[in-house]
Amino acid sequence: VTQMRTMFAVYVVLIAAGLVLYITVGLAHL
Amino acid sequence: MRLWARHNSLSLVFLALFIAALIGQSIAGQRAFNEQQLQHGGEGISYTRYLVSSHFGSAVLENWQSEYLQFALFIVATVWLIQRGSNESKPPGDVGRESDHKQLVGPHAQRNSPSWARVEGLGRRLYENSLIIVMATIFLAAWFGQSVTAWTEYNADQREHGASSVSWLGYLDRPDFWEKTLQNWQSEFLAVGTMAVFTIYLRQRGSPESKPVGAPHDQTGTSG
Repeated sequence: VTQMRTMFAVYVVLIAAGLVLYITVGLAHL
Repeated sequence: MRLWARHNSLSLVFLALFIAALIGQSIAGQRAFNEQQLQHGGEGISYTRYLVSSHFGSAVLENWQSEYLQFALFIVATVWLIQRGSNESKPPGDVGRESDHKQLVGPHAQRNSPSWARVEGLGRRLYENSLIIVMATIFLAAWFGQSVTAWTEYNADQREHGASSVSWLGYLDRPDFWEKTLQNWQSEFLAVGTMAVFTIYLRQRGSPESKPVGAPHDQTGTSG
């Protein structure tokens, strides 16, 4: 169960980080 | 450790492929960006600066949004729509949200079912749709991210050519935004439709994306 949670968390964190980073980059030029 | 890797091999391999492709994209992207800058009499930017640029951000997110849209649509469409004979479809008799008994919810939940499958009310309603909720949220966030990064790019281009900048809403009305969006959507929709249709007659032995090799063509939704 722990291993599956780890993979799930890795994907969630990766996607969230990418989205937050580039939305911030886009909005930084407002 | 080896057992851990084997039990997670599908997600690990795709994670590695994703990172490798993203690194490749960033290296090629920086070179292409700098080439263009030099041609226009501007200066190139460093690799680390390029990683946090709107150019790279919009290139990444325009592809992300279309992938998540593809899966989100596929997840929800396959609840209601079918393709007879396809491995990607359920049998015609199962169209819709299916019974609580079949979905193992409420009193039909099993000992090891997730606790959200056992409860009644809003909690279960959300859990029943959690996959589409999360995939659609990622799609919308990525599409929004694409719009703001590509908008920044667009305005930089406008300024370079002595034209006036546009507002974010103004950019959403420009063909540039819709061309970037739709060129990704069309390929996703074609690929999904192709999978739905090709798995009627074509097989890949051992893959859950295919019916068993010997399964009849008119048998619907039976992974091998």
